[in-house]
Amino acid sequence: MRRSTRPGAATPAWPLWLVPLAVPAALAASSAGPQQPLFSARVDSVRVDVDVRRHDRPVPGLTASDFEVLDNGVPQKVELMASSAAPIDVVIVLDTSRSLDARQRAHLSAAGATLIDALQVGERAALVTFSDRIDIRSLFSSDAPALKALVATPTPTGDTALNDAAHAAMVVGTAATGRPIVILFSDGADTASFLDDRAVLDTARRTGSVVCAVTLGDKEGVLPELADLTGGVFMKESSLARVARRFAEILESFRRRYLVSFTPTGVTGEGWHTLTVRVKGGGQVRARSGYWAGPAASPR
Amino acid sequence: MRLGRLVCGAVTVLSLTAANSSGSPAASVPDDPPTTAWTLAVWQHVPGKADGALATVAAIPHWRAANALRRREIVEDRQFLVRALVLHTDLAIVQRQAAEQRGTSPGERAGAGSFVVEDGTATGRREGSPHWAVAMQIAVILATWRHADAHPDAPPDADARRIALSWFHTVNALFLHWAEGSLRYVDTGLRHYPDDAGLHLYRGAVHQMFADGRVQQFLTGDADARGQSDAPQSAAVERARAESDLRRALELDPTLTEARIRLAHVVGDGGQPGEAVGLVQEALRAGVPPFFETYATLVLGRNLVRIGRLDEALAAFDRAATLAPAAQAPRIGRSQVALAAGRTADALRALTDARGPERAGPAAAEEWAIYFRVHDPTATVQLAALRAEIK
Repeated sequence: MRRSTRPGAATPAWPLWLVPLAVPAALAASSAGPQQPLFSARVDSVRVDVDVRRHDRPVPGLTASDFEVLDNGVPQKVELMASSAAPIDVVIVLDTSRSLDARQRAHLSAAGATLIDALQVGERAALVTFSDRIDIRSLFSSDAPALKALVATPTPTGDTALNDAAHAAMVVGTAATGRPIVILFSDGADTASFLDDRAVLDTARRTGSVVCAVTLGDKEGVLPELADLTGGVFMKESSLARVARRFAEILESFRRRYLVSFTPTGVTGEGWHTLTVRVKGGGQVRARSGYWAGPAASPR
Repeated sequence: MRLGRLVCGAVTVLSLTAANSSGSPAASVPDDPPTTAWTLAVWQHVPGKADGALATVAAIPHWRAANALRRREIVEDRQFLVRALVLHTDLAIVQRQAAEQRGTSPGERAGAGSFVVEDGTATGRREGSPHWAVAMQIAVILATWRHADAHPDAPPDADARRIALSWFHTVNALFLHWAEGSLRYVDTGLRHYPDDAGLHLYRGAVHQMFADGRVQQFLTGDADARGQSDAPQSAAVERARAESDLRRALELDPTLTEARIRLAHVVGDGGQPGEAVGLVQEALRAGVPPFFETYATLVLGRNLVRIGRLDEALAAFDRAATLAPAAQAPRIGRSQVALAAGRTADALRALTDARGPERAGPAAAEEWAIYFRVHDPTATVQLAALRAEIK
């Protein structure tokens, strides 16, 4: 993994998720700098990665007062957090179904390796490959050579269990100590999953990853909806040779996102909370469309 | 040699003429040489064997057999018809296997025959055997067959009708087992047996297959396929058709457990998970063979999740994992349940826990992926029973 930092690239960007009390301490211990405590001792905090653009270009320099966040329509007091406090944890998801030939698979392996190379200090990656079988090749790790070796290892081919793979990737994302993002490539829509579209969208609501997807060709399945729901992006690409560049662009763009945090106030109840995020002065805002509260974990 | 090993050309016509041990067709042999050879082959073929009789008939244009079947002396001989039915079925199976071994190439995309679909994409076409049509012609004759001495108003011969129905069941089970979707044989069967529960079950299973993501993805991207007259329709339409047939099957035979499980799958995916749970629980209470228990338990689990009965869903997925340790779907289901219950660590553990044994190959494919291919009784058992009709 490349041990470089990008000067001046400290603009925060995160997905949203519900942060239970126990997490901040672990997060602070593992990755947050001592000068930037992420969370005070609050019961819950909601964090949202927000991409703000004007004229299709990122808008730098915004402050907390520039953001307006509504939780189920109720305005919330927001804080802005530094991205350096919680590095990115990226789940790389690669389609290895039989519709890809050997040359295309080589391009895809190269794209995965490029993404791993692009990770900065403190950032980690997990790897999921899929055909009709889902293979969680690695949980979050900063061992770049090992990850790249896994990416380069051929895997069996079969049908495309895209929904099951997306579910697995988002569940892997729940183990993130940083900001989880799923970067997924598939060359087609689902043909073999146990989970239907509704189920995988439900997984997206209950987990915190931002899902960004790149597809080849016209078949897209649930991916646009998944990206929209989680505040991610969906891209169609005509050539696998360009997927590596797309992956790098997604990661770079994610780093530039703002990380907005708030403690829900004036809203109660388990279940789905709709979020509205606006920016003073206008602009194109991309963020999760909501978050899931509860239920409390039950023993099994 | 078993049928599965035959490659056309491996047997010769000469071996046929040397063997004539299964009956005496002399009185009914027409004098047209190819038809004579066909008639002899019908009497000589040993069911389930890739023998010389098959090679003989393979070398005769199939339309000669079709024409011969219009001759009175042939259609009056029930035993001959049954033998011919089995022979042409065996030959069609052999020719299908040979076509499968030849494979397809992109150049065959525009040809006739069945689409070969891999991962939702057509990779070629496979030539079909014309002997399916000949066999079906015989089955239709048998479905309405009367003894020559019978009164014109007498009902068709019950035994001949039973054998013809057995053929329709067998062929539809075979096509589903091969994952080859065709309504031709089941529709013809239902024209002659409109109240047969088994045929409604098979037609429901064909529509279930047409609603499957693999077929639907193929249709989305293939204008040629959409233009076919008997092309599958949208998933919603195919599910509705499957539901209609499966409900009819259960009306006709409430003990048809397979139909109940399939109906549960269809209605659950169609937005009625509560009904699906009731249906599949009833099927499981009745007792089902191992494959259907796994399939039914997975259908049960996914629909219990949909209605929020998570503890029961987890029990269902645990049961499915016990029945099929190498299967992935139960682990996905367990993960889904844990996540819905707020136990994210368990959700991840369900996916990363050590797996059971790896799949042994396509025959041991993921249970969830082959639901439309397996039947009770299996296609193999039904084919053996059909062949056993030749005494």
